[in-house]
Amino acid sequence: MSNPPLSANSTILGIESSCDDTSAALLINGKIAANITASQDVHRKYGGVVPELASRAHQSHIIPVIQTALDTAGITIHQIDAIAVTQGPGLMGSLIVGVNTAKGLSLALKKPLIGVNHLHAHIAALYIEHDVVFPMLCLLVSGGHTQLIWAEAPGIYSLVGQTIDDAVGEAFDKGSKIMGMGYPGGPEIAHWSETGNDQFQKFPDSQTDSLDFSFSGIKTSLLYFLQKSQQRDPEFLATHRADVCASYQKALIDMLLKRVKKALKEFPAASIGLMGGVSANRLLRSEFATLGQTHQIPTYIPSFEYCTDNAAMIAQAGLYLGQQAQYMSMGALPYTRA
Amino acid sequence: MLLVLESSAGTPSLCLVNADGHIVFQRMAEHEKSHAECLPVFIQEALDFISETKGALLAVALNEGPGSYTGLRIGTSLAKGLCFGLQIPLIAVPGLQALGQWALNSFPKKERCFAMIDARRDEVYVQIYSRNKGLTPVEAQIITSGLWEIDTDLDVFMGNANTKAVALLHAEGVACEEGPYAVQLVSLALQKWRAEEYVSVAYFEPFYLKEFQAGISKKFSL
Ligand SMILES: Nc1ncnc2c1ncn2[C@@H]1O[C@H](COP(=O)(O)OP(=O)(O)OP(=O)(O)O)[C@@H](O)[C@H]1O
Repeated sequence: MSNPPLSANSTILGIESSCDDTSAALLINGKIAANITASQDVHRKYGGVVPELASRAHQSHIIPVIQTALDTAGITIHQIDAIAVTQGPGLMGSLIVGVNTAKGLSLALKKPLIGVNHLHAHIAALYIEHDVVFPMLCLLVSGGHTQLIWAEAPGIYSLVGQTIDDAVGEAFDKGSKIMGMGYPGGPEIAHWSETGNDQFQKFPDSQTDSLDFSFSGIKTSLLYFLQKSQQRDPEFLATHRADVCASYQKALIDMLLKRVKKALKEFPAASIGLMGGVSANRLLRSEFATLGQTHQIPTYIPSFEYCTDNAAMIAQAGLYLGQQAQYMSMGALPYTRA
Repeated sequence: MLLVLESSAGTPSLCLVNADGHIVFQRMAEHEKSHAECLPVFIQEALDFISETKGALLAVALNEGPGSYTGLRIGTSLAKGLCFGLQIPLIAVPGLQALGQWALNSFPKKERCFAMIDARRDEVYVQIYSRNKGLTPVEAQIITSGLWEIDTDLDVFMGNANTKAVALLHAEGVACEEGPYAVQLVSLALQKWRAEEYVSVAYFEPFYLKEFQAGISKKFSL
């Protein structure tokens, strides 16, 4: 039995469990009626996500999170028309919990299941709040990915540049760790940067002239710079933490924007979009918006709640797939890589 | 009808049991570690069978572990989704106890069952069930020669670690039965169903047995 396509006013339950956030959302009649996320604090003390612990926490959070989303939207589970779930990329153990819970629900309710690509969903986060003008050049920045994507329409995406090593979110996280600060590192570094001098130290950009990114070099130069400075003055970091953070953050953002500017010369973009967890960064948001103004094209940036991993964007991406009757079979598997 | 799911070890399986305790439907995977692709499809087939026979699914029973973390996660997630969607209760079956009970029921001449699930290297998850002394606690045990005194007439090995256990214990000749399979969980599952011994669909977690110990990385700090 094959399911018919979804209509634009369908009620979709979105489920996201690709990494360390368990999230459920309801998209009702084109509007996000609930977007509930349980974050996992257990990883903080390890300075990064521990996959086995993440999987276990998803297992105990997932049903309560779905129930809370239903309660928030004021509907019952029987009122949903379809279930959209992150199929990948992500951590296998984490994905398994979301995908199989979704399969169980789909079988119980006899409603179609939609497997969503997590990265496409980050782009779909923009469609929640904006009537996007295409073609759009996207900068997707998260803990696991740094990509330039050419979007011609919802779901029609091609990769035009990406990191050849670390993701920019990782560069924030590892930078924070090097400076003995907490996890996740992005918000920590952003916080300290507010009072720092971003011209304090110049960190070199990697010498690629393609649209690809590389962030492993800057991380190493931060480490060496701090080791040398601490040798000279053991109080160096204590005195200059804000300055080092501001300089490091500025360098990362410059590296990102340099590629966007270059891509804008090569691609006839009608708009630009920023998305993924690192798009929560205020400086990046404002510099990205300025870039759009300079080029006189619309700039789309999601609200904070749709930047980091969330199920609202999964439901939104699921709607487009469902409207084309692109459903996931019961035998389909999660995938770890895009 | 009661749906019984087994996902804790190499070969996933399921069966449907009617109110009289009869197994009316069963499926078992042909390949090891095929839980993620097979179990959802088997459940779909089981639900189709229920519709065709105009029955109703009243509860789901699941081997709670110990066993493979990935397998348990797949089974638990599917079971939770089903139970939450259908608003029916979830029953957690202690896997090793179910195997011991099944073996002693099936082999009246045996006095003692070693229910064992393969862990890594020389280790097994084990629970010993004897007719007169009852159950030992579930343990993770590294098997060494002479660990247990095996009586080849009265003992039976049960589970998926038999070959390894026989070799390490030099217990050649002991009766061995493969498992766990869903049908072997039925008797204990029914017992719990009839006693209405349910677990929370929202908060249930598999019996991992071991606390997970992660190392704190020192990399990159000054
Ligand atoms: N204000 C901020 N400034 C910079 N980085 C930030 C900020 N807030 C969050 N981040 C970073 O965003 C990342 C998390 O983003 P997200 O949740 O989208 O990614 P992920 O799930 O780790 O990866 P992916 O989505 O690629 O699978 C972390 O690396 C975190 O440090």
